Amino acid sequence: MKRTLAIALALMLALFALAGCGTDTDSGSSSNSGNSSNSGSSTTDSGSSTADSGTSTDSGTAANDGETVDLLVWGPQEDQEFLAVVAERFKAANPQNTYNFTFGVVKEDEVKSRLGEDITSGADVFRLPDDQMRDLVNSGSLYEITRNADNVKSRNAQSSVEGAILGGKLMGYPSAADNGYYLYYDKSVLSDEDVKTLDAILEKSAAAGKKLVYPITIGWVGYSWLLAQGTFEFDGDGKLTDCDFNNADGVAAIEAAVAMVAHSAFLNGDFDQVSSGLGDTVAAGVGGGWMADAIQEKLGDNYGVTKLPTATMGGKQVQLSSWAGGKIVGVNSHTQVPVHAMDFADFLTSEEMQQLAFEMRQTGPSNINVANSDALKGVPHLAALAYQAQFAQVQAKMSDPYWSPVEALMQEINAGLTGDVQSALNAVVEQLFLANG
Amino acid sequence: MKHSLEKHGLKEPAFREFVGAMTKGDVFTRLGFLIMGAGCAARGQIAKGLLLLAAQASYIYFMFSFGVVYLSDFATLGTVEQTTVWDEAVQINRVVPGDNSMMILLFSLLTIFISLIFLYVYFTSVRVGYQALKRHRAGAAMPTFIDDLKSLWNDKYHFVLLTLPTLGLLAFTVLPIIFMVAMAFTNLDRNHQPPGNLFTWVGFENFKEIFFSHPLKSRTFYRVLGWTLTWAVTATATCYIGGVALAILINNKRVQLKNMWRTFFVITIAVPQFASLLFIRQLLNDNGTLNIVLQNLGMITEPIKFLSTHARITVLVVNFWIGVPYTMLITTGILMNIPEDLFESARIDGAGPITIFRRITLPYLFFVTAPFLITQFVGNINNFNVIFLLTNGEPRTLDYFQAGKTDLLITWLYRQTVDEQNFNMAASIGIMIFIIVSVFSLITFNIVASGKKEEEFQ
Repeated sequence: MKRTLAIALALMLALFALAGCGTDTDSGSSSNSGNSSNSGSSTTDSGSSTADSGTSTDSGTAANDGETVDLLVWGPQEDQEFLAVVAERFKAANPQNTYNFTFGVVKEDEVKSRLGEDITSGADVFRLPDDQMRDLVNSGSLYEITRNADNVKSRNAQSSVEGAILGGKLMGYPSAADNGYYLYYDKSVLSDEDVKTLDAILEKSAAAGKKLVYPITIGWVGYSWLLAQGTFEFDGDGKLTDCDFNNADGVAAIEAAVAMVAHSAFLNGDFDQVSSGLGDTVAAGVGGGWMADAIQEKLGDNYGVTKLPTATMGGKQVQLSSWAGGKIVGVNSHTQVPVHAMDFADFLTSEEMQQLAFEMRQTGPSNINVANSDALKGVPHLAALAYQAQFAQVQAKMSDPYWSPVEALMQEINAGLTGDVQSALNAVVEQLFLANG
Repeated sequence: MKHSLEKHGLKEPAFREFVGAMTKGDVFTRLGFLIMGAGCAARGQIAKGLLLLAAQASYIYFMFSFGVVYLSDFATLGTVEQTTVWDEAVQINRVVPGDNSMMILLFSLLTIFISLIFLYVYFTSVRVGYQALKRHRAGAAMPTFIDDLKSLWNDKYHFVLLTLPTLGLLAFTVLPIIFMVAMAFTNLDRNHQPPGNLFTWVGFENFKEIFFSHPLKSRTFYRVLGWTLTWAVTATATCYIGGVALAILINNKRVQLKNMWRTFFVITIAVPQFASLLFIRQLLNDNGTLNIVLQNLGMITEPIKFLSTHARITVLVVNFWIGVPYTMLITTGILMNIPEDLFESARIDGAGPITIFRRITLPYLFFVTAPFLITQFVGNINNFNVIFLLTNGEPRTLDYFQAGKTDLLITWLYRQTVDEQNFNMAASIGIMIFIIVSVFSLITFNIVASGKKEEEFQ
């Protein structure tokens, strides 16, 4: 009797609490996404299937003055200072509105998973690596960029713009073309002539008792062999349409990789072993821009950086390929203020701000004018990146499942390939098409 | 206790009481089926009646303002896709949010959960209404609201204590598990990610794929399962045998400085496991200290590929090194507790050291450590740390679907969620792990429990 009352009491409290929770979720999600003046229709919250209308709280034209706009911007820890400067300049350039900026520390490659958790509490504007583009576009997390689009397309390098277009739509603002890998080397061991061919690098390194670190078991780097003379094409939606890795050229490329792995001067390792080993046991290594400072400091006058070498594939010298990637500034599809978010993203990726990013952070720009500046050409690793970019493929169309098969192949090669190369490559191609889903 | 129903002989089984409210009740208890608390209020228990009525009102409010919205889409998990509408004024394609399958699934489950709780409250409200009527008919004293409250602090105190933890457990443990289980029956893979896409129920499709219909995935599942079991059996056995051997060795009468030796081995426990694993990974890689030292000594010319070609052996050996001190520590205590007179009488009977070990030490040890062995075995099936930190499942192979030679089911599952976003497949693998682990635990616990009585050793 009293026991049942006790239960009833407790459960009623719980009911109230849970019911309260429910309504909380509704109001919470619409209030935390940075609302602007038009607070009338906040019903377009995340989960509610009642969101039948297209009402948004964005105020309409950007020409509307006197608005107070809250913008949440994500960036990695190293970029916080830069973002704060950009925000101040944006405020100064747009005095007609009041902007309240909030900055969240989110690494670029974490953007996808953070948006996946709860898009409505995600940032309005964020920077992401371009190989996450396809997944975010597929999951409907990015706003199509329509404001000032022609200018965006014309001011950035062709390959960067291509990387930002999916399904024929511009889905982000190219902000940097800084991602790729190339060859760092120790000039006291290898001459500028030696680093042109893989054979010479291996030979000279072996002679000096040193190593070449080529992290092929990382799928991103492993691809450089198959891309060297293989076709790898995606359609506008990012689905793989053409891949001929399993032909004679592909076999020759993999046989060259197997030969390199078997060479006594070859060392499989991760990027850390490149930056820590150069100057000691390592004569040359493949890596990217993030390790340039450390290597330059270590090698001093012997610091060398250039494109990847050529490798002997089927009796002829073939230039090793790589991925050319970059960063894209995206706008959250569930932002309450798409117009202001786009305007800020546009400003963040403008020529002036890319120049500033280069000065403050040594970021490789996607903007044509900044990329062609003399100051930029004086930075050795950015010059090497640009050099290697001629032999590189656009990374933006890639997404996670396409890495796995080639990574598996390269790890099998490193562990000692048991089967024949042809059937392994057939499996790679089969699994790559399987990744289309 | 003065108001207990037993005293008046009015105690009935709960369900009969519920039916009785309809068949033997009066107009008020019958009204209680529609308006909660009517039966109580009619017999003067006004406060209780109002509380029940409030519960009903709040449930109805909750359902119409929140629950129905989600529950109505539960069968399909949403039908309206996110779209865009061109806004000429500001030149943007405005995003019009559609249904979010994830939210529909989550909040539908929450609604069902709350409804079940409410159903129980409803059932109870009818019963207490009828109980009040029975008291009235028997002329028994009617407990007042104050009496009811007081009872919460006396004979019903356990409810006061346990209601909140129970609700917490249901809301934060049971509900998320049901949510995960539900995902295994949807097509929530990387191509159906909300908010831009809808996902829906696919029945047992994911399990079919894992078991037989998808050649690559099913082959991967069976091979990874095979390795998981091989690993679990080998890792458990090696650590156990090694630990016991070490403990017996140190426990030997002729060994001096016993405490020092034990301390040496226990120190390895003091170092956080992830730190030693990451250190060993550095030590063992192709350019690691071990390879360099061996090369400098001229024992090898090529680096030994501990973490790729020989990865399976490496993880077993490293796990042995990490696991032995734990077993040693536990066994040492047990060895010291074996009554000395057992050994003494055995020796008098002419038993040699091997017979003593086989007949006394081992059965005794095995009896005491059997639960520990089972926990170790189950723990090794899900030994995420050692595999993930040491090899990350590598070397990957083209024979497998996004998995490597040293991947356990649990690390494969992890990759499916974090890297590949195939949540449906990960949830299915998770359910399989749960089934495997529980079946093994039940079987082994039963085998151990049957016929093992402590008296056998006395």
